[in-house]
Amino acid sequence: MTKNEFTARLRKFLGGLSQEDIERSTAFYSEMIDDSIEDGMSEEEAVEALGNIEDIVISIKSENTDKAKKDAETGYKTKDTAVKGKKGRISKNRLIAVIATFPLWIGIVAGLFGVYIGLWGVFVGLCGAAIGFAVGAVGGLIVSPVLFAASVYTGLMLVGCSLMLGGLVVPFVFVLKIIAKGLVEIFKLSVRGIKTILITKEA
Amino acid sequence: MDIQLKRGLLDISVLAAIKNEDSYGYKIIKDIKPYLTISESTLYPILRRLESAGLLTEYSVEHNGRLRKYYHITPAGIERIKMFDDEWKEILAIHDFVTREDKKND
Repeated sequence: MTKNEFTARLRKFLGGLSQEDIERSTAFYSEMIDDSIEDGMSEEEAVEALGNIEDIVISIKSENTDKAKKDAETGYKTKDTAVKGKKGRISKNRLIAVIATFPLWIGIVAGLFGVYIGLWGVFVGLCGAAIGFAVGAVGGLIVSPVLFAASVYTGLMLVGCSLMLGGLVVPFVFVLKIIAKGLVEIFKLSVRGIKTILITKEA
Repeated sequence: MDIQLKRGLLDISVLAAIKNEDSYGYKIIKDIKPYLTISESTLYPILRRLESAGLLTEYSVEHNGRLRKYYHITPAGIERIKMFDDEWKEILAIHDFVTREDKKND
């Protein structure tokens, strides 16, 4: 395979990545081929020395998609925590301060917790409504043949109403998913906030 | 060799390869190869990772009518090598302990 064929294939396989990432990767491998040729290899040998193109694509894609995750694993981004191997621990001073100011914050925290639980209540209520719509839609469709036998118009009206109820289920499920995600996110943020307040990394 | 260990060693080796003099991909591989197995597809993600971690920077230089990318170690990269040195002393101490305990059973 020639250098041009290799870079064309690489570009094709890297489709889906940003243009910048594709250009960067292609330039890197193109440079490697040029340097190998300068070192005495033939163009074909230089391309062959790069190995399997599928492996190259996997390594580039995995680095791009998992970049944030890997940064966290290697710990380069958070010098204090991972690179030096320091783990956070609960600060006694902060714990005492939190306990001492208990009367000041408990009302606010209890209020916020109440609102949070209330939001879950709303979520459960909406779930009930969605289930009700779904059951109504299915029930209406099942019963409709009976009404059709009595009156075509009444039967048609029931089918129409059932389809309307069924149609309502879709936006409800969509909204419910958003609400559930939001509430779970609020919970995670709260836990992270509590950790930030209580845990120190200097210890 | 354990994959995670090798990964860490490769990162440090790349930093070491550019510590005294800025270098380019092909030369970095040539310098490291006698000590660790490394290929182009291994080096590229390492360079990207080290760059995004602020341990090296890159710049292009015209060479024989084309651009060649050079890599330059940052102060954070030099600090990482020093850290590795300290960590390695700890590993050697652990190795001493492990081999000593192992010999007791012989």
